[in-house]
Amino acid sequence: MSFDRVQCPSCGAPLPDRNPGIVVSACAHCETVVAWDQDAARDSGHKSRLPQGFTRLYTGAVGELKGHRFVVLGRVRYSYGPGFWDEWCCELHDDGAADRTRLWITEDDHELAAETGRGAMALPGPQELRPGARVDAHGKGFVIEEVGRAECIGIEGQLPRDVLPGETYAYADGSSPDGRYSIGIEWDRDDGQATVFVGHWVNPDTLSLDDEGLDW
Amino acid sequence: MTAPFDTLQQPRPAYAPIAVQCAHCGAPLQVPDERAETIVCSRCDSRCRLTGPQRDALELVGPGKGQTGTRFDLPLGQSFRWRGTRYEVCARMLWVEENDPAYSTRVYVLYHPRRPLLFLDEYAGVWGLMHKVHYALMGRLEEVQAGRRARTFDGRKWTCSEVVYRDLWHIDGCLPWRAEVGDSVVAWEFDGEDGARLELEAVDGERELNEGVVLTADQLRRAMPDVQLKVGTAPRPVHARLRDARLVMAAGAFGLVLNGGVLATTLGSGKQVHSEQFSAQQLSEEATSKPFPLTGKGLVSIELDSNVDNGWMYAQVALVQGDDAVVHVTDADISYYHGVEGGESWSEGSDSATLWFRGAEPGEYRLHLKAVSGLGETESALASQHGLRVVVVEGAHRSIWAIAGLVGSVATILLGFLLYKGLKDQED
Repeated sequence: MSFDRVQCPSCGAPLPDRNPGIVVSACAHCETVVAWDQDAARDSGHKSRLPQGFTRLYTGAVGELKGHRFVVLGRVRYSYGPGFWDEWCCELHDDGAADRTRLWITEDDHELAAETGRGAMALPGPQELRPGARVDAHGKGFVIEEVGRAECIGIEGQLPRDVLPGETYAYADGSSPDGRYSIGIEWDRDDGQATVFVGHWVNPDTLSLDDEGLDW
Repeated sequence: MTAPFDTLQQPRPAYAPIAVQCAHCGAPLQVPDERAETIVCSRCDSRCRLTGPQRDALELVGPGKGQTGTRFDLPLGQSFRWRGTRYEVCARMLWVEENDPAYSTRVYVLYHPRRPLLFLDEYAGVWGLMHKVHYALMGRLEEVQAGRRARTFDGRKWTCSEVVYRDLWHIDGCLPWRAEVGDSVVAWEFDGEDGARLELEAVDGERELNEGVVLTADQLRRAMPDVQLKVGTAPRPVHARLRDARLVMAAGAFGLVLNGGVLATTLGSGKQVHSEQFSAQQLSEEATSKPFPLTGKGLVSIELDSNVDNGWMYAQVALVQGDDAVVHVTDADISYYHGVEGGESWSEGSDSATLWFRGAEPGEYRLHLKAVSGLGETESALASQHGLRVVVVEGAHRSIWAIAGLVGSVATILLGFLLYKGLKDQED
């Protein structure tokens, strides 16, 4: 079994084993954000260091959600002004499955929502959406709870998303009226296209980690 | 090819509170979470805002934590174990309704570095535990008032118990949102089934829904074995008590109809088997009635109607089978007084009485009667001055119970109405 062994273009430290589809990594040694450019590691010119110990998930955590084993590859932290939230990129690994699918778990005020990208959708712009507005997506109805502008304030680990610290985009999130499902909408900063992530709120008791760290 | 799990797995980073210094007095403070936004200095009571990505920069916002001398049953840092997870009280708040400290809710914010916040609250000795939820209320919130039913989209039914306006009077500890003394919220409180509670708070156009339960003394003891608390019992919700009052009124109305029917039936029931008039002289000497038959079915009533007027009569009555077999002896006090006093007429007593016998065998019977009577304030007499008419009815029903039932029913309706009105006034 062989993996692409890559070194940080800034400090030369080895980067984690590269997984297919990963486009951004953060060097754990020098905090340089490394972007993959035509199969080569490039220094993005950004540094990133995020606080540790205050989240349930963490990069390198292994756990289980609804019977699916997963590992956390990395996270993006977004600020919405007064606060922030984390989006954890997880790779699912079920026994016998050849491919590994990816799942994003949002952690906001320690509340978790597991979502998968559902692609672009024709939705009104962020200026037209207000909290309380109704949005139908992928056969479900949602109530928008928050609309704002997010700024990436850091990344860690490996991410399959082209995102760098300082980048901003408009976002909205909400829930299905019965409180089971969640929705996240991101508007592309260039073409204004809305990308939708749909998932479900995670009952804290239905997610387990090999290392929960309950004694604190 | 993807990397296997074991090469990606990492140990959990350690948790450590953030060390800061008060922006006013420089006292060392501990911030439990990177999301903290407000901290009140435990030494000088200054309220500071936490800023910066590491939440280690403090900006002095204002002096004081609010109401001094506020009593809390739990200290900051108190451990609270819930469903196997240990939380700590990271902040305490005193919310007051209508500016009246008698209506105070103490909220303890329970913190765990990796779990959503829990809110432990206490109102009049009743403790509850709430957490944030994402489902929504059906219908327009503006139309929801106390006593109204509501449903949530998860299919559950609720009854609005109260709509309250609260002001924040006191705050200490550390909070993950901006808060200051004087903040106001309007909250819709709902009661659900099995002790479930729902509270919707509206602040500056934002709405937050929290669900929870009322905690029992046993649950509190298990959550905090080191703390002794006086725990009250949750009052029954107003809507439930209103329902009870309506039930009381309905029961009274049912009793009214039932007893009215029974009374109507009993008043004319029975068969008159004998009627006889006795003079005063006869009664003085001991009179014997003419014979009359009894079939032995049901009660026998003997109605005594005297012509006593502002006087009294004492009569002894014996029911005799055949010629001399006394089967029952009883007596009756009859007194009837009336007059006018101060321009108002009055009366007391009655000039008649009813005696009851049960268990007479079929046969021929007679009555033996002897009576004495007097007028005015006379206390004793050797003879009767009044006559008596005697009517014997067999198979009669005692309507006294139906009358008592009627009175009780009316009283029940009245009680239910007073309860209902009191609760409605309280609700308003």
